[in-house]
Amino acid sequence: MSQTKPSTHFAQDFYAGKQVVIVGGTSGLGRELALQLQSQGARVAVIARGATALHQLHQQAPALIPMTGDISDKHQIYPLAGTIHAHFDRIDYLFNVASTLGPTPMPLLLDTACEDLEQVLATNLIGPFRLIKALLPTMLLHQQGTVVNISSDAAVSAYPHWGAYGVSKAALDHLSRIFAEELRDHEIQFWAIDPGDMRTPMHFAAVPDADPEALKDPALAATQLLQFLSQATPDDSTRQVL
Amino acid sequence: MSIFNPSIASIAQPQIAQLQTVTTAERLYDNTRLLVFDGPQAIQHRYMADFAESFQAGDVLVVNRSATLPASFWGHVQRSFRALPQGQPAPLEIRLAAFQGPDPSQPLYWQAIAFGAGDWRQPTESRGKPPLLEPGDLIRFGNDLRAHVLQVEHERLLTLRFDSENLLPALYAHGRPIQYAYHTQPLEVWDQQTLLSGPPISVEPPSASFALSGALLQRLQARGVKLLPLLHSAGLSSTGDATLDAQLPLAEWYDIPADTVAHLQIARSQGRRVVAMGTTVMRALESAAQHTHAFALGTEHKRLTGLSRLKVRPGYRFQVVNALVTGMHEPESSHMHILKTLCPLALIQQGYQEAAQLGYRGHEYGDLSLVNCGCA
Repeated sequence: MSQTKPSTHFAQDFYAGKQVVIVGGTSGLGRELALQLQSQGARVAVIARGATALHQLHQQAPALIPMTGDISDKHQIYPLAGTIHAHFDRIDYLFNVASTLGPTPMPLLLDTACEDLEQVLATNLIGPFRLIKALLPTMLLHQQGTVVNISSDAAVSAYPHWGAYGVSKAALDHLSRIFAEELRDHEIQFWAIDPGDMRTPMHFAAVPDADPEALKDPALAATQLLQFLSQATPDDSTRQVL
Repeated sequence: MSIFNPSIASIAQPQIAQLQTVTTAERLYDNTRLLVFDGPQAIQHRYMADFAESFQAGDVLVVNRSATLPASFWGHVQRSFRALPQGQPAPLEIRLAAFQGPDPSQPLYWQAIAFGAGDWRQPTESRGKPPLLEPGDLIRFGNDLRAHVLQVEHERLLTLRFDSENLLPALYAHGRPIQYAYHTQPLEVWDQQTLLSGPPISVEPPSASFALSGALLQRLQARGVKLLPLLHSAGLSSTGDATLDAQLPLAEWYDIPADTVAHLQIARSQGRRVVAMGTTVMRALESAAQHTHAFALGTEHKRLTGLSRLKVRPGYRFQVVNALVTGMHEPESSHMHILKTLCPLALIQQGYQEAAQLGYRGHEYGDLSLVNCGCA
């Protein structure tokens, strides 16, 4: 393997005591973010749909706060937000990592059922929007906070067969941009982060014959992202490729 | 339309006009009307769109960032060692009435009211009697949520300790929002939340904050108004029992962060106005001020937390709060005691009379008033 073990270049205590919410933290990038942030002293709440995977992660990292939930279901937003607020007196970071490709193998847009597009938008766009709305006022009260929406090159390039996913990520990017613009005076940062193609279950679902050696280790992507955020300041660009 | 409530019409207690009732949870935001009591003579009619103009730079607006739990639970009583009296395993409704602290991440201790047969469409007063409970009883709400009865007062007023492996998710899973009989549709959990909803320790919404929007926060900030958060468990507004209603509000837990205390010290030392967004905010601040100089500059600013037992009645002298934003409520409510403490009764009567004529809407999802204490 050509990749070296990720190392941390930022101050060791940068994330100590930070209060962090990760949506989709039981596999891939979300899981690595959760584990690295916790090992650096952050308090981390992980929201995931699968209770079993969440339980396993909690056993591996007992200080994590596990929350079973699906943010694409509007009934679950305030119960999740209320529980987060019960544990955290402020919210320093919200990572929206969870996303869905829709049906695989991924169809042409013409062959994508409208209901499947709706479901992809519910998970990748509306769900993050609902949770942001529920948590953002707490960031406003403290005049600080960072929202990270995980994006993809499919948000920018029009890849055939990536229609529903690409549309949802393009919309999420623009959501991030507009929030950033509206909150420019409030010390709140919004980022749309493209972590690159990673060796994750989702990537293999989209591209079954992908070469694992050519894909980024999600642990490296998590380290790069945390390093980037530790130095990031709000500027004109809210989109960043790692 | 002005409608007078005949039940309070008497020479001893002059009439206060009743307003039309809002029967839905629709938010009015900037279109919320604002009845301003401003000095001993002055009544103004404004909208929340102009709310920021009520402030000078440096004034503070203190807000309650509590979220509202779905606080109505149906369960069954279990009694150890001996059988329940005949017919008692009937289901009963437990409505949480006020959080008792001390930890919002584990909201174990509550005062609560037991209700018997019936539902929210019936006025609370006409509900059936609940089974007689005793300390030591266990109320089971499902496989993952139980409550121990620690104390019973007046047959229906309980002190409970919840028992669950994963308490908050269980409370959200089994609880239903407390409803108002005058609403046409049942409220959903999101109908009860304000913009600033944080830790879920209220059982009814701190409803003055329903008018808050992101745009309003930005206007307040542009005006130089400092928004200061605290937590207060907004409690049950009606028990269906005159004896119990007379005890409202019950002891309610509050938590004022050290940072809020520090900013209040500075604001007060500079003669800035301290405006409470809702009666729960006022109750928390005034309760914390009762036995301490906590809000005087120079006092070490530390987090202030405890049970608020203060009942504001005419004659009370406010220690911290200069003005109050509050809903438009029923003439006989405990809320009206607070208004009468802040304003001459004749001015309240005139204000409500004008509001009724102008079509103001009353109750939790209705219009607001801004009461400046200078007129008391």
